[in-house]
Amino acid sequence: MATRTAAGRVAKSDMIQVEPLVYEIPASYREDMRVPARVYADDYILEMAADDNSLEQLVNTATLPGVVRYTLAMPDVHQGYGFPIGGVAAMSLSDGVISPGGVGYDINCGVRLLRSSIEAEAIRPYMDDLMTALFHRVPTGVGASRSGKLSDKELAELLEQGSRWAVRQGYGRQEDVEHTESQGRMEEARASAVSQRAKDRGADQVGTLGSGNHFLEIDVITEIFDEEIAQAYGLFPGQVCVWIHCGSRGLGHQVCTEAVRTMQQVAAKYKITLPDRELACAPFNSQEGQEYFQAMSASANFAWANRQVITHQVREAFDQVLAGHFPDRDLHMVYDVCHNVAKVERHQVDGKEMRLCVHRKGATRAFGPGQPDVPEAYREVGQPVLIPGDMGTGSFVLAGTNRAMEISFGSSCHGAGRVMSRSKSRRNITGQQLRQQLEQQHIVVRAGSMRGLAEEAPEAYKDLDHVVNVVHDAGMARKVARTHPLGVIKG
Amino acid sequence: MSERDVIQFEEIEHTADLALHVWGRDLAELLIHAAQGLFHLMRCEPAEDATPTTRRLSLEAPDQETLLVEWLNELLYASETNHECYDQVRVLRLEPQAVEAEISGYQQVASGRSIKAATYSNLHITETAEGYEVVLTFDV
Repeated sequence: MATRTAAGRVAKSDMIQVEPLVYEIPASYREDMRVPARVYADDYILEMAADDNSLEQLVNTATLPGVVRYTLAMPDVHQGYGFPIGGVAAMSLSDGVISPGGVGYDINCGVRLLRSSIEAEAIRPYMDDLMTALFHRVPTGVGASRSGKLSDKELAELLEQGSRWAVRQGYGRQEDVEHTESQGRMEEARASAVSQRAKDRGADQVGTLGSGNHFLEIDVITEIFDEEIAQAYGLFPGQVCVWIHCGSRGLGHQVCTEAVRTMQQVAAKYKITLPDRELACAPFNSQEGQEYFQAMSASANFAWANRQVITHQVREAFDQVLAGHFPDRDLHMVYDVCHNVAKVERHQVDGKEMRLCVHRKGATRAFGPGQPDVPEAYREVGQPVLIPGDMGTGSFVLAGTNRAMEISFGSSCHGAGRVMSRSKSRRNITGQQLRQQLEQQHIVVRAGSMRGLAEEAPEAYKDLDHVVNVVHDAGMARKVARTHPLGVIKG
Repeated sequence: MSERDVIQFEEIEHTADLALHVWGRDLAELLIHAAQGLFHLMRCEPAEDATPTTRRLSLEAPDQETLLVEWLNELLYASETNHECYDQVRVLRLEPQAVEAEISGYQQVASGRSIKAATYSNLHITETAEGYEVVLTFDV
């Protein structure tokens, strides 16, 4: 296998500032680059990006066969595997590659937002009971599994139908599906493309939250930035809402692991030179490329089914605890977005419409007004762009724009990356101390692991305000609302 | 070849994920110590009365580095699908492109921390005067 490791760190002096918040690494920076690479950043973010290998990884993505226009780093860019996290790259479908490193190990790690008609102050007396009910209903943490594995047939249906499988099983409603990216199902999914091992890993994990930075939160809308769009999304100040952040669990991790291995072995066959083994790829139209795409799509469907089942469990918890206190305690979908996926989309490139495989690795689709893939209810204002944050800063809702369609293949950031290692975060604060601090701020915490909680302390993360402001100022997505937690569940 | 008593791995700081520096006098030791490092990162805490378990693993790979990563991913797969944790490794057979080993541990135990995969990130097995060393990165 021919590999060439990239040498040298990208410095600010290697970049050209093409717009106030846009820096470009020209294709001449390195011999194997096919297109330039662009970073959406202000000075603060650029400094942080120079601190790890994320810019080198971005340069590597610009070497992939079939890549068009430029590759992109969103303002939350940080070092990943293959692609940087916060990386976006589009390959021509006809002669380009697909890369599991451009999607990530947690395929369709994503986030869902539900809204209620309840005000935060009214729900506070019930928060303890509500969080306990949620913690019991939603299997959380490492090794979380449901009692009873799905049969092979049920799992195959789930892998090909995604959210729709869940709704058919009674875990939700049609409006949930309509308010999910891709309607909760990538049709290219084939259960047969998912290995038995991946199925083994996932069969008892449907409807489970997992651990790490995944969470379930009850939040309150603390700020509205755009009243018109907030209204279109059904959001109002003081409103109780629910965030669900998780992915495809062990099934997706196994699919990625296997694809990274397989594609490394066939790189020579397709005469692909890999600057990084984690950037392993294959032509989209090759057998390996198609098998991965089908398995990736199935994994994405698994994640959507997972978030749909969890949605149902959350509704049940609300019903159980709030019955008799709130006549309307229903939760409606705002939206559900992926942060790690490769999609076939049409975009304008140099005035021509092209079919592209758009990789978003730690990046969110941000389609603007009028786009046919945006649900009808939001088509006038653009799709919701959901950005989960840490327990301190809170999270954001933005709206996609047509400017994003022009500049970033309709993409935006997905969150803020870590600034502190897990071990340093644990040295900084214990789980118990953090829980106490949060409880002093009237945030109810349920955590499967105190060490895990300490690792997710707000100080461990970059400043999300900064990231979101760059996205907003660059016109990629518009700030709509901000939320803060009332209750947090961590695995 | 058998497991050694001396631990020969060290967790190193990694901002986003987890990383291990692993040493071994030969490749078999490198595999064993990498496995021990992985078990350490996984934070398994079996109950006193947990049921012991033993499994055999065998795999092949085109080169040593791929073998090492595949070996670790095989351990993760076995742990997650069987809900088991392991603390002992015996390498039974090792060839340049294949390994067979016996792993022992406990049933019905979830690890304390979920690891998605061992990655190929910056993967180089280096030969030193004392044997081999490698830095491994894990996606969590």
